Amino acid sequence: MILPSFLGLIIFSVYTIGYVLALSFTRRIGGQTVFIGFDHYVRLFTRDPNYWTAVANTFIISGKLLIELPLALILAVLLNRKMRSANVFRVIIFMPYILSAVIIGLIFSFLFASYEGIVNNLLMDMHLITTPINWFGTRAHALAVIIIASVWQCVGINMVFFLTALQSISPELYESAAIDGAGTRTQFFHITLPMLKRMTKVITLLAIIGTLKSADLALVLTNGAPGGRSENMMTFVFKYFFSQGARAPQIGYSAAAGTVSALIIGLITIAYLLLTRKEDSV
Amino acid sequence: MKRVISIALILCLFPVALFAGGAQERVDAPTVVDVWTRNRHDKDLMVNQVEQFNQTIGKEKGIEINYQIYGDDFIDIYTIAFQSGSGPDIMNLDESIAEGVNKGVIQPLTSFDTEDWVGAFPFNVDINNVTSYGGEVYSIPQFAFTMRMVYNKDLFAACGLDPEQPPRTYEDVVAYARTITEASNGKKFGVALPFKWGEGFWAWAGTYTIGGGFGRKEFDYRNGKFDFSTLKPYTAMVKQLKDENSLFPGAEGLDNDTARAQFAEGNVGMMFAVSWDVAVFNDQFPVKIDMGITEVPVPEATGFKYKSELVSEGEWWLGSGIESAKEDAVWEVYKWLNSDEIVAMKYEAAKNIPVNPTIAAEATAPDVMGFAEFSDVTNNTVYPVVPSVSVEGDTYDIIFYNAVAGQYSIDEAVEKANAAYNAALQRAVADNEIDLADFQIPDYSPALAQ
Repeated sequence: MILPSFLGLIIFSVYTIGYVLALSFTRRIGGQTVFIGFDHYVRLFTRDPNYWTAVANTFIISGKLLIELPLALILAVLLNRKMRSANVFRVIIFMPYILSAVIIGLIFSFLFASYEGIVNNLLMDMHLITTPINWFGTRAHALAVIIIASVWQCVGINMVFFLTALQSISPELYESAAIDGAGTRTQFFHITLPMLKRMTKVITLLAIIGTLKSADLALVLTNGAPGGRSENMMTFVFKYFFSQGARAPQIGYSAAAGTVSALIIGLITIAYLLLTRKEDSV
Repeated sequence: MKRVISIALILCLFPVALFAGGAQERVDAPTVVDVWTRNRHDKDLMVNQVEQFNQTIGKEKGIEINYQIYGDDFIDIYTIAFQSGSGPDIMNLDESIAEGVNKGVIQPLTSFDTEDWVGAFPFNVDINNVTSYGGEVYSIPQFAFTMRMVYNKDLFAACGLDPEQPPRTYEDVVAYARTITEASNGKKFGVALPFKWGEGFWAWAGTYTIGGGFGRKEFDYRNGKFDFSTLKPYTAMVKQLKDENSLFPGAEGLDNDTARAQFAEGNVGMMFAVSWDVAVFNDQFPVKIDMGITEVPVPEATGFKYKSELVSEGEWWLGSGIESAKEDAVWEVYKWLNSDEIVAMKYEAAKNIPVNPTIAAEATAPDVMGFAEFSDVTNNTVYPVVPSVSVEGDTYDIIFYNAVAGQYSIDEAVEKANAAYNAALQRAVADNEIDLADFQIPDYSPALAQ
């Protein structure tokens, strides 16, 4: 009965992870795959500051969750009320999530274009800037654009998760609280938030993992510009695996970077679970 | 008894009659030569030509071409076919010649060419690591990509520049770009360089032509090592364009399509372009301006002394394991595919640019805007191959971009690139991944421009 699932696990998880791990100890030399031990890992940890810049960028981009999750919660609470057009707003906010990252990348490329870009024109019309900003010309600007686009893309799905959780809270709790004289704010902090705690933990965990392993949006939006300074962990792995720009593929090194990146994501996930478990037990 | 004898005779004669018929059949049946390609751009033309061949020369010589066109997974298709012993007789190659030879999918022309057909080509067909490997020729470099600078004649005129005097030097490019940008009040710009596209395109058409000034690219063939000093003038030009705001805004976020679209709209004065951009400016982003085409400029200090680079590769390759009975027929088809007639026909249909300048000169130029200018290869030549190495850290396009962005000086960029690439080269040589003798040319002398 469990054989098909077990086979799937072996083929698609155990085998592939093992294969990537094995690749990370090899290099292609003259058409042959040669075992080179820990060379790739030594290079990654001692001679490649670009990888660690990519790791730092990944954490900076993950900072978007500080905006994205509270925003999703606020939207969910607002749209959980009996409003006439609640469903329309829910669909509109959720819509970006079902769009391809390529489309989102293109939309934001046009929005933040230096020449006749909507954002620049808006800022200039509001007299906040006098000359157009080169949004992809510095690392800080490029990362900011990735964060904005990513929040726009993902806030909808998190809002839906929160909505689902909100709808599972019994209305009787709110009715009782109202009878006891609790206002909307008190109800939110003393009923809604505590009741959402478990779901928030899951949503946050999924959002952290999703953000850490995201590559598509950054590839379309900046492709590492300027000068590779907006690469994140996954775009770094991608660019060493496939030929990009003037770089020939380095599959073994890419596998090593992928393995270390997976370990980083795993460690963060474990740390988060441990921290929140402690909180659960309080 | 008579009946038994009759039946026995019939049984004895039946196989004889059968084989006699079979032998007759084999004499009449043409030898089928399998030709596999991934070229879809010339599909109609080639299918028609193959049909004509089969009806005329093929009928006369008992040859039938089986022409098969495949998609993007061509390399997987022919690799599996050769592994199962059913590979084509003639094919395109979707990997490097070294990989093709080591995988055993191709074979040299030597054993087929008993009449020195290869030696009769009026251009160099023996390009190490491109069409020849280990001293043997495997293919003929019939077609090429060329690089040019395209410019907006209307904008030149509107800004007081002579549209018939395109820039000849990097210094001209900087001066013209400054004039265009200043005269256009922030609406139109001197040059568009798409830094975003693979982080490297900005270096593509421009840097491929640095040979025109230096006679070599980033590799010092005589001493067998990388020397990126040839990129200094080009990088200095780009940095000056950027510092003076003559580049189309937001170059770091600009991909090639957007840059070409802006040029086609008339918002850009000059752009580096590759021959495939002819189709782009005719069909994908039809230009709304009078487009001029000129040789890519060179540094004033060096002038246009040498022929600049022509990117070419072998078109047709002989598959491995061709049956000896088919060899003559395969060779006949191979020569036909490489004949001046077919090459000229592809040129006239604006499908390919021939490496042999005589063919373009004698054929009827196709009526496609810009094709003729990109097709004149008189001052272009195929340069020796630069070794491909697995560099650690930044690749040269990013290193030089960072110099343009002011992270470090251009001299430092040259040092960084030389150090990274020569270290990678030494590793590859030590690992026997690269034989330096394949790339080092002690008596190298570049072809002089005419």
